Formats: sequence, C-alpha cells, structure tokens
Amino acid sequence: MKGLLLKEWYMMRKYCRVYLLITLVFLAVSFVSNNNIFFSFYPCLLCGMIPVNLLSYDERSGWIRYSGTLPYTKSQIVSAKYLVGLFSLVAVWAATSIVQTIKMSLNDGFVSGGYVMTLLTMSILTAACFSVCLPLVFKFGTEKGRIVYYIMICLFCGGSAVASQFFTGKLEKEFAPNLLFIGLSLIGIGIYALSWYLSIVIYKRREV
Amino acid sequence: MNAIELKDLTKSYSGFTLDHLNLVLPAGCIMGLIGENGAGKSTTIKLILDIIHKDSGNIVLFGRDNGGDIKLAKEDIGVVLDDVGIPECLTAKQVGNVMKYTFKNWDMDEYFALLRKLSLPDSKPFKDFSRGMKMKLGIAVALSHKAKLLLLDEPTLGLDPVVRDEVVEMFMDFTREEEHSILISSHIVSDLEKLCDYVAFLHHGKLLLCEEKDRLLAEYGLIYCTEEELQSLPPKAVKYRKKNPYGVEALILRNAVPGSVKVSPVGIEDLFVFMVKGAQ
Repeated sequence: MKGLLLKEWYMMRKYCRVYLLITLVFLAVSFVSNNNIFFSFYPCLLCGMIPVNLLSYDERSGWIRYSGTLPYTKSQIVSAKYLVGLFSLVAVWAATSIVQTIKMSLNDGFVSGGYVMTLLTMSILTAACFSVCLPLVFKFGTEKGRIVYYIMICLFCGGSAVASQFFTGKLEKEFAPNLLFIGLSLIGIGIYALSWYLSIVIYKRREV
Repeated sequence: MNAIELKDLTKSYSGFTLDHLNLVLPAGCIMGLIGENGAGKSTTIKLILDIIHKDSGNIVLFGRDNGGDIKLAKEDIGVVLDDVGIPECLTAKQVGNVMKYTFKNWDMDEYFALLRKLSLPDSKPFKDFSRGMKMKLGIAVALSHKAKLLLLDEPTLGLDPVVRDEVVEMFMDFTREEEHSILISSHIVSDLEKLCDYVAFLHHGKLLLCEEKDRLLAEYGLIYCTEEELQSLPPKAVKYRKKNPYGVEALILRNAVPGSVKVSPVGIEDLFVFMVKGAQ
C-alpha cells in the first residue's frame, strides 16, 4: 500500500501542480476580497478531480493492468485513490481554514460558526461528487467518469444554490449547530464509505 | 515441483474461448507460448495472474492453488507486459522507490546494477524512454525482487535485434538458478527457439501441443519432394503437407519414414505454421 501511495504522490507532484496553483490563487483572492465565498471553497470542489485525473493517467500508461501483476489486492488499489482524495480534501480544507481564520481575525473578529458550516457543506458536496463519480470511473473508465463528475458538480452547485435560497439561516434555527455539524459530517462520511466499498466491489469484478 | 500447473483452464469471451487448457511448466524450465494474434496467449498470462477471472479450471502456482489469495504468489513472480505499464512521469529511480515498498524482497542494489548494465538513465521520465528502454526497465523491475517465475507477454516485441539479443541473454541468466522458471509468449519464434526448453502451441484458444523443444525438433522433419514420392511414404509419417509450384513440402515424423528419405531439420516457426494450417 505504501508503494501505491508513493506512486500517487509522484504523479500528483507532476500532474497536479496546476491544482495547487489554482488553489493558491483562489485562496489569495478569497483573502483580499469581501463576501466572495466562491473563491474560498472552489478549491474544495477542484480537489475532488485529483483521483479521477490520476486514474486517467493510469489508464493511459497501462498501470491499471500492470498494478494487477504486483502483490497488491484490488482493495488496496482502489483504496489508494480514495486516500488520495481524502488527503487532498483535508489539505485544501486545512489551507482554506487557515486563510479564512487569519482573514477573520484581522477583520471583524473570529466568527467561526457560519464559516465552518459552509466549509463543511462544500466538503460534503465534494465528497458526494467524488463518491458518485469514482465507482463509475472504476466501472466504465475515466472518460465517462469525468463527464459524470462534471455533471454532478453542476447538479450539486445548482441544487445548493436553490437550496440556499430556502434554507439560509433556517437550518441553524431548526437544529442546534452541534447537531447540524455532526449530522452533516456523518452524511459525508457515510457517502464516502459507501462509495469506497462499492468501488472495491466493482473493481474486484472488473477485468483489466 | 512445478512452477505452473493449469488444469482445464477455461475462459470465454464473445467470439473467443480459451478451451480447457492443460499446461505444466516444471520449475527450472522455460516455456514458450506460441500462437497467432488472438490465440489466447495473453489471456493465459492474465488468468495466471488473476487479472481476469477464469470460468472454470485450476491454476496451481509453486504447488499452491491460486483460487484463494494470489497476492503472496505475486511476490515470487516477475511480470513484463507488452506495454510495460509503468506510469509515464516516473523516473527509473522513482520506480525503484515505489517497488521497494511493493515487494518484500526488493533488492535496490540489484535494481541499480541492472539499470547500469542496461544503460538506463535513472532520472529520465519513463515517457522519454525509447520502446527498447521501456522494455528493459520493465525487465529490470521483474528481475530485482528475487522472483522465482517470470511471466513475459511479448517482451521482445518492437525491439531491435541487438536489444532483443541482450534481453534473451538476461532471461537465460535468470534460469541459471535451478528453481527459476519462465513462461514467455512471443510472435518472434526465433527468440523462443533460442531460449525455451518447452514450447506450447496455442491456436484459437486450444492447445495444439505442449512438448519439449528438443524432442519436437528431433521428432519432426521437413521433406521436399514430388506428390508421387510423398504418396509412397507411410501415411502415418506425413503430418501436414503444403503444395507449391515445384512439388510438395511436408512435415513428417522422422522415425516413420525410411532412412533413405532425405529429411531436413524443421524450425519451431515452420512446425507451428504447419500445425496451425493442419488444424485449419
């Protein structure tokens, strides 16, 4: 498993520099601009693309078949991609949090509640897009999977824009913030875990 | 002990069936899988590695049925695929680092010695390698984790004759160890003829024969004669015949023809072509 993760790390260093650059630009813009939540949280959505992107390079190089000849189980091969997704999300989450915390402490003081909820929601959206997409990628390959990912992003963004019209402020009134936080976290973790399991089942059946 | 035992191995796709394949590769031997495109060579190798799932039959590696966990057996198997499969952005050094954490018996010194021997740069990305260099790197990886068995799927395809000769030499070196075995598929029968102890002919998913190479070459021969001369030979001596404008070329069993008949040696390639045409 360590070998797989190391290989993913090398590939990320080579192929995902552009994601790092976009993340830094967006974080910088979010730091200097006011009330532009898009710039803060777009990198979260973007990092969901990383595992799909790496898988497409794997397909192109023949690694998908070659990895089947190495002493790894199919579960480990799938899990490496999910861990990459998770680490990327956590890294972007942490970077966004640091930038926003500094910004808040410099401006109007530290107002964490709404920010944490928004960041969490965006992370869950990313996890959901990623979670729907990856089993399809493992089943049908990256080209079709990538299209599904873009469709999912559009649907989720559109859906959340509509939902925010109705629910802004209401959820916090209806539910205790802690409960909402725990609920959303559990939903995110649940979707991610289910997707992980499904991908393993699909990949075990797939002939590469 | 046998390195590989395949018993009634069957795999069906639409339009192709690998049909009850029975094959034994004794430890310490090299077996060549010979067959035309789509004969089932790569399918056989993929089935052995559990990359694709068999419909029925048994695969026994190093005396152990691989129906369960093949992960352990893969520690002892070095594989070279026709497209190698190493990620394009990785350098040879990075590949070594990845494999260090992949194989329990990875030998980094051996790996770098092979890179030097094969004149492979360790800091150039794989995508910038020539076809021959890519194949050599795949071979270096396969030979650096103390594998007991090499599974090679068209490892010499697209290589120039000089590189092919180097590669064949390396495989020969590998089998100097008593328990080391190789199963190699190739279109380039001349390479297999140099290398193999056993040859297996596959045609449309069926095993035409699996025999010791030297025995085959001793058993069969070619004669060039007229139709009338051929008719005078015992029917059981003539396995396959091919007419040409000058007469008849026939594959015969040497010990079934009279000593007076001039028999030429047959190469594995001719033998295969005759058998495939005979099967058709």
